[in-house]
Amino acid sequence: MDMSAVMAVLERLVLERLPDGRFVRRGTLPAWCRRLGRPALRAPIPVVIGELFPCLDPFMEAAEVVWRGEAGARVSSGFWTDTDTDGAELHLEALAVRVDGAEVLVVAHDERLFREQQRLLQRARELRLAHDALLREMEHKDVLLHTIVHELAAPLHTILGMLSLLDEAPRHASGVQAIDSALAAAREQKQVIGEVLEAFSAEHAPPAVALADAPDLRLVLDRVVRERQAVAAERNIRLELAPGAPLHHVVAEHDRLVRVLSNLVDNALCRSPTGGTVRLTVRREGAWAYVVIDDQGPPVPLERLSRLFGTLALRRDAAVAYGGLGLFFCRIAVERWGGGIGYEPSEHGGARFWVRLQGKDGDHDDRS
Amino acid sequence: MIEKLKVCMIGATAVGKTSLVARFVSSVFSERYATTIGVRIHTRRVALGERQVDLIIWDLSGEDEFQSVQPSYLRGASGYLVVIDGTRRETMDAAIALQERVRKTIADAPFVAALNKTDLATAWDLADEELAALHGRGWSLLPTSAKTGEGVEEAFDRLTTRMLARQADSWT
Ligand SMILES: Nc1nc2c(ncn2[C@@H]2O[C@H](COP(=O)(O)OP(=O)(O)OP(=O)(O)O)[C@@H](O)[C@H]2O)c(=O)[nH]1
Ligand SMILES: [Mg+2]
Repeated sequence: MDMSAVMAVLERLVLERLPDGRFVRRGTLPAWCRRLGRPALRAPIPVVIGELFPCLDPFMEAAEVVWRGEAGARVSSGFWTDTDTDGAELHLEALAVRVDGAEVLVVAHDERLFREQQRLLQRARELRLAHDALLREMEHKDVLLHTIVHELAAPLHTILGMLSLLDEAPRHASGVQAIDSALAAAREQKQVIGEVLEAFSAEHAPPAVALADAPDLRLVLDRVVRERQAVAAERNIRLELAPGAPLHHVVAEHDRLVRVLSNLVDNALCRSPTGGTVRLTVRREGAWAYVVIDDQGPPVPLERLSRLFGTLALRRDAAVAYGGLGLFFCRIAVERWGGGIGYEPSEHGGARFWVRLQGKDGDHDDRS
Repeated sequence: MIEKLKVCMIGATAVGKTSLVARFVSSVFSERYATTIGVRIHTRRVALGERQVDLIIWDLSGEDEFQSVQPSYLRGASGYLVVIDGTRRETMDAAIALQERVRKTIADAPFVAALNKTDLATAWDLADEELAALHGRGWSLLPTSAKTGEGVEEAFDRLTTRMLARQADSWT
């Protein structure tokens, strides 16, 4: 029986190393070599391994050790991927062995073994990724919980403070004020609780927004800007709504949209230097309305962004530095309406936040 | 004859080595993850001013608990790209460890570090201080996204420039 034919049927190419370091094919050429289109392989003439299989170049040092060593020793190159003349992948592996004093390189084509190894590693790596993602998620939930408790505790402290004030001076004139403050704090706390509940229910089932109630974006913006003028004036910041934005009804819940936009404007006012300007612009793009809020504060570094909107990369130090849950709730709300929220550095060097809202059907094409 | 430069892609698994090469060589991107086994070579010709070079890009399998990168693959490389997944901080530690190891094989080959997946801004997991520490080590960092293509050409460009500059240095 011709052993070299057996090797070819087993899809193995046998190369022998010559004293000058080049290789020459021995035995029958396996079918896959023809697909590979290396003319040098057709005839049994000496070839340089790096020209035949560049991936094997780094393997030669390990092979050398085997060839110089004892008979029977061997070393594998591990898989590499080559492409045939049609661009299809070929998965190959080389084995260096010493046989009867000859230095031999056996190149094997073994798709089955490759697939098996690939499947195992793929599965293991996917599981590892999923596991890590889960850990991260758990960590974020921890931080979220921590922040929520913090947000709930702050108004409670106010309420308690006011109550003890009342307790000490029940009939004093400041009592009325104390009651007002306590009430305001209680309402604030109620709102936080509402937001938390909704955020968590939103994660499971986003509710449909009644289109009939689609608020008028222009009116909402007018209101937000009007309500924040006092704060802006106090800080000597110009707060302006760019004129010319078309009337636009958007998919959102009215009160909540007011809160989302107020929140963004509040942030912008906090970040802006005194004497600066906070500018709101509305832009349309097809079926979308964009509200853009520019301030002249420092730009937000990339790594902060995740902390701004996400539970995703929320880290322990982040919640406090970025005013608690505000932006997180903004994101949850806006995404529930099918919109988006984001940040980009402003062309003028400041920070720019944007909110993207869906135009109510039939309302978005009256201008374009 | 057009000069050939060997470039290696190294980094933890699933950071986007294969995706960056696919973007750079074929202008494509796929969301599907198919882990690389062993190595695969790709080629692209680039022009730097007057000069043309063929980048022979070795896309290696990633480093993790299941398999480690064989430094021998780096032999003969003129430079390498260290890839970090910006949404997974632990891939930065892996990159630092790998680079230390690779440095022993090819001591002064230039490299560029790609902070990949910048399109996933809300999941970004690298802090400024951490990046500053990498700068401090003398690393050349570049944000990239194999998905949008951001920074990909620049990363290979910068690496090629450095490899050619180093060559010029060693000739004088
Ligand atoms: N969003 C996003 N996803 C990316 C980017 N780059 C890679 N991915 C995804 O990340 C996953 C891993 O990408 P690969 O390119 O296979 O990663 P690799 O480093 O070659 O992985 P190994 O070969 O296993 O070491 C795939 O699902 C890609 O689609 C990117 O810039 N942005
Ligand atoms: Mg890969």
